[in-house]
Amino acid sequence: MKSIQLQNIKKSYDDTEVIRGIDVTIEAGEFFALVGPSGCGKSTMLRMIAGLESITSGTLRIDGVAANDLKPSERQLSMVFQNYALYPHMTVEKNITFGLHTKGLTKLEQRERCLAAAETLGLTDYLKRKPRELSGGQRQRVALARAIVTESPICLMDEPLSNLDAKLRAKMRSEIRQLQRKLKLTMIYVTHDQVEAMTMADRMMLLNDGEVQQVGQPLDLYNKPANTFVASFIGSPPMNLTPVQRTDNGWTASDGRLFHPNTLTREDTATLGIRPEQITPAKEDVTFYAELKNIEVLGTETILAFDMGGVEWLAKWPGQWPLSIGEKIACHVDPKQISLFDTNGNRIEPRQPKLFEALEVFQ
Amino acid sequence: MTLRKVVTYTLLVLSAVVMLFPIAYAFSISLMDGSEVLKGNLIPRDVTFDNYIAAFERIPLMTYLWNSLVVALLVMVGQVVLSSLAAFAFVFIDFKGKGLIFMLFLATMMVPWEATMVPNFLTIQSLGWLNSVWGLSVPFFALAFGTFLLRQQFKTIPYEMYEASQIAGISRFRFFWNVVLPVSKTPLVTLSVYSFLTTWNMYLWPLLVTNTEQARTVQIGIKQMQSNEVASDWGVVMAAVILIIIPTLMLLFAGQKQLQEGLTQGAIK
Repeated sequence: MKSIQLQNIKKSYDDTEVIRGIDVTIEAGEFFALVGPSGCGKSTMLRMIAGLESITSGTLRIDGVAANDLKPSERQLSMVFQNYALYPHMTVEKNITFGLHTKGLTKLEQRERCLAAAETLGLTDYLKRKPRELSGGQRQRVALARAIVTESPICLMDEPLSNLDAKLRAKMRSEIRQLQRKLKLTMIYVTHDQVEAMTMADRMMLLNDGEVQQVGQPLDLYNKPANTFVASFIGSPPMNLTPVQRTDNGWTASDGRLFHPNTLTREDTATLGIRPEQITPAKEDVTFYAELKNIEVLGTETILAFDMGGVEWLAKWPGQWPLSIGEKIACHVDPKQISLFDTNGNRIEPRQPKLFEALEVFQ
Repeated sequence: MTLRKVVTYTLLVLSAVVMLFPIAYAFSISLMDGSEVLKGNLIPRDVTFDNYIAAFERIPLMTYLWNSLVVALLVMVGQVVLSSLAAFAFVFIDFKGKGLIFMLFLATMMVPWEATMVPNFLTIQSLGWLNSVWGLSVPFFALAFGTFLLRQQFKTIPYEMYEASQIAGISRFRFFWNVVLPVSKTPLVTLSVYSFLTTWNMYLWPLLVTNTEQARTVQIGIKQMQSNEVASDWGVVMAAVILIIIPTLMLLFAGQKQLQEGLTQGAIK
């Protein structure tokens, strides 16, 4: 197991800076997800760790040793590419073993390792086939087998599941996770799909425009988004946000609806955020009333859309609600679940955070 | 629809007849004796193979054929090796001025080959390569067209395959040999056939750099046969012509499919 340390890593192409200083340590044996919208620099980041892209400034350490100038093959890592990068003219077996000779393995050892990897990934029956005779999911497995057969302690994956259909993706998600645990790999996993990151990662880093937005455990990013970008990227549907003004008895949206978030700040204007699932049907203490603009009944839950100070908000109510468009609903929001962001979009920490955290544990 | 087909096929058949007539007529002449040729017969009345025997007797045709074969194969191998290595560098290796050098490569395609003949001749002469297979083949090893053709093919290979091999620690040459060449079979065959045929049919250069019977190639031999005698024995000349077409025809039939695929690659998708 190897740890990876990034110290103020930057990358520029000519005059454009695409990675603006990243500091993070990826622990040995950790599943670390790099998430962000397309073009945020997450793939560039991964390719710099792999050594396929040069590092403009900063230091990359693998297990404490500076690795900036090491060749890709000297970094003790394996990589799975988005398009799998299988060799089309070679059989699955040859694809898996090609390159093992550089590790000084005999033909027999290569074959043994190949069989073991194929066994792990259920490819034993396909070893004699060419990649074009395999389905998308099987090709994906070959790419995985090729990564694990090297027994490198670090594994990098660049959107490995994006070419698979939804059902297979869910299956491979858990398989990759199990594989990583079993082989105790240090995994860096790039994805634009926040669901993948949330479900698989021990920790994740959200990037936007070459800058780190937040690093932490998936639930930290979900519960305490560091800024409005994180809030709107993580979660599906994302967090509802609306600008609010401070008034004498709380915070009001531009349409006059009043909120009492449990946060102290000197700011006069802020952005208020509530997760769709934290807006619940009100029994007695109504936070606000809303007129429905749209309803989506999904079986297990109902998504309700309404207007909040000029912004469309969504609420996610469990169960099936027989409501119709134009109907008025009464909603309740727990004040301690409201997030506030200052004018720069950064999170304002709630009052008495420790007490609330303690309460969350009991809930 | 049917009328159109009739017209199309009529035109095609007519063109085929026009195109094939010289070869067919040459073949027919090669089977006639001298008097029949002079009568202007299209089809021989008495088929005779004497001309073929005469062709081998009158000039050292076997030597010429052998020379041509050696030179054509040498040029073919030389062009394929150099073009594929150059194309690999242009696609997979980063170096300063790559675009500029490639432009220069292409620019040489615009210089007519005849314009470089004199300097080439002087070089070959000072190397002492006159009347040798080296003088006939080495000047053609570097081929901009071949580099261009293979570069276009190599560019279709996903770059991630190269990166994957870098991470696995596979050497560049091994990647070239075990991955790039096998997946580029079609254009490699195309280039080989093209090289072989152009060299086989070459006339001017062999005429310049050879002056002994031991070194000459078939195309020179034919010309020699035609002009050596006061009255050409056309039957014998045509017999020799038919003989030297055979290898090129064989190659064409063998590589036809690959050739078409290779030359239109990228043009249609």
